[in-house]
Amino acid sequence: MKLKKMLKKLMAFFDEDLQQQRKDLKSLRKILKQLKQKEQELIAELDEASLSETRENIQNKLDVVRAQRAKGKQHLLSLRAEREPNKDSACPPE
Amino acid sequence: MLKRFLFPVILLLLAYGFWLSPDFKEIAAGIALFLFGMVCLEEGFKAFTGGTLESLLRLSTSQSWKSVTFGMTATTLMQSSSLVSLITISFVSAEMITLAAGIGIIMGANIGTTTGAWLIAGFGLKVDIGAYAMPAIVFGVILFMQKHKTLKGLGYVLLGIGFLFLGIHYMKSGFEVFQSGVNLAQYALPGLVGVLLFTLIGMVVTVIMQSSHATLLVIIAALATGQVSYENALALAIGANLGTTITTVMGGLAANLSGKRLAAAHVAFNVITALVAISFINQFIWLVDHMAAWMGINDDNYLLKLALFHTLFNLLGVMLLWPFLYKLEAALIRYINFVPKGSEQPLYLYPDALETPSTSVSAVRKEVQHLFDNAYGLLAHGISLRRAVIDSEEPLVDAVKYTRRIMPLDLDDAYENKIKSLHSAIVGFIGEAQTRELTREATEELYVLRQASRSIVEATKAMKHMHKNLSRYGVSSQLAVREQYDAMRLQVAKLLRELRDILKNPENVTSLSLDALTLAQEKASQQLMDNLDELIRSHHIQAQVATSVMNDEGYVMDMANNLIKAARALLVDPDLRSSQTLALDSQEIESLAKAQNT
Repeated sequence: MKLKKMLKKLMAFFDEDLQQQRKDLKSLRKILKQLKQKEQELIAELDEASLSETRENIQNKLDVVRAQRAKGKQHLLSLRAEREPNKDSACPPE
Repeated sequence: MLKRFLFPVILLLLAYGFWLSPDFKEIAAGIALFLFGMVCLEEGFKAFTGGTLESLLRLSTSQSWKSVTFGMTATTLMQSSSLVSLITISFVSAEMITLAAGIGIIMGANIGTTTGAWLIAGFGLKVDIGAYAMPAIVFGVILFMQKHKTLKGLGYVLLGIGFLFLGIHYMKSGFEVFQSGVNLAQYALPGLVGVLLFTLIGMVVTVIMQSSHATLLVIIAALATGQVSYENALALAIGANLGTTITTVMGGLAANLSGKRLAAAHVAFNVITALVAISFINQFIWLVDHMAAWMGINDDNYLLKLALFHTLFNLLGVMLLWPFLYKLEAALIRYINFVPKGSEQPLYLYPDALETPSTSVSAVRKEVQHLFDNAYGLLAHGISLRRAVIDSEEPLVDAVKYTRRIMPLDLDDAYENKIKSLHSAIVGFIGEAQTRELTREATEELYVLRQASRSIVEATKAMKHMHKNLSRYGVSSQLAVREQYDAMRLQVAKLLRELRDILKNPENVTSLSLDALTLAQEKASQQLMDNLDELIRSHHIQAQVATSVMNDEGYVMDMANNLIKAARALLVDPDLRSSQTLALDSQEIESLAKAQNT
């Protein structure tokens, strides 16, 4: 059983699609983290800004970051859902 | 002109020599095979320049000792200082490494190239090197016929080594037979005259063969058979070092400003080293004798002593100039400059940059940035604001509001000289790069950059169209009309300032930040159209003028979208795939704008 498991893992290692999926997930998580940080920075900037023009500009950026984060989260969920069956087939329950 | 005359003369002389002496034929064949081997080696190593060599180069040049060590190691491994110099020129020209780092590599390459003399003197002439050549050639040909790029490259390297060895073998046997018939040593010249004359001969031979390695091989083979005296051989080695700079100068002439500076540094380094070696040749001979004795080299082993001399005088050159590396860099930057010809000349596109895929991409990226910069200035003037105003932190609303007159501007002329000429150069360069061997990534990047260049051109064209009405209505006495054009000018000015900030300080998720700019443009456009509708309804603006405003608003949107597209291509995003997934599409932007405006 162990050998079978190892073989599956080895095959997964050489599976280009799986590798790409892993890479995509990793970079998506990284970007989402950066976007979250940016959102927090923008909120702080918005609190300090007094000019209506500046506030509008920051609000714009904030709206875009929020929309991108929402889109990213959706994409992350769908990537994970895609990955789950692969995971199941790679490591079948004993 | 000289080349046109010299080339047939050399061919005729060679043919005459072959007819006259079969030994000469063997020596010449040896040199030819040796040179061919070097070409194969260069070709082979070029196969590995798709990434490994470049990343190594960048990592290994953060400090001057690292640059020198890198130059030394790379040249020792590749046995070709010209390939290392060529790649270094491309990298310095593409501003991927500093000039000081480039000089360091060239210095290191000068030491690295001396290992060739040790290889030929210590190994090449003692062992039956021809026997090693055959397997290398056989394996080389098998690998060379493979489709895989790395295997093909490896095949070229093996072929190169094989032909180098075969060349050495033929040279050696040629000189051995030659020795029994002729004695060139009788023409040996003692003293300073001899040193100068043989330095010149060494230089000329290297220029003709375009390889100091090949010259050294001839010197060592001739010295081994007693055809040249030891002292004269030393002078020939100095000449070979000087001759090799001619190759770099030729490369430098075709390169851009940084390449020219690096070529000048190479010449300065080799000339100073040669002058020191010629001035202190007797002291060098003494030093070589003592060091050879200390290293256990026999007193009559002139071959290894020549190799030792070659290493010592190059090493001394590096030691002499190393402390002045940064001063030399500063002097070169100060004294070697372009005569300003206007901003329409491409700054980064030069033949050497085509050598590797990454330098091609880097040069094009820099040139598109140059084009973007030109367009930035032109668009700023187009909306009658000075570039300095947009670059400052001055409130743009005031700057637009208090504009008294529309700047007179020959946009057709500016477009032809500053935009179209550069765009044509970029397109031509990319076309040339595509005829070379490119990686898939490089091909894609070049395609994106060409599109970016086109987007910049489209943006300036939009300004050309808009400017006609702006000149007419921009300072109109009708407040309502003027306000519409002020709004458009403000929209462009804000965009230019934001783009400048993003491109100057690229932070994380920068390419995604561009979506906020698209949203701002969409909102401004919707607002302008709403205002315009209101003005038409209230008869504050004539329908004829309103259609002009509508058209011009379309041009502003074209300009903005194209500039944002170009900026997106210019930003290097390590997580491009994911960024593209998260970027908002036009519908999402539109609905965001609507939600905000309501």
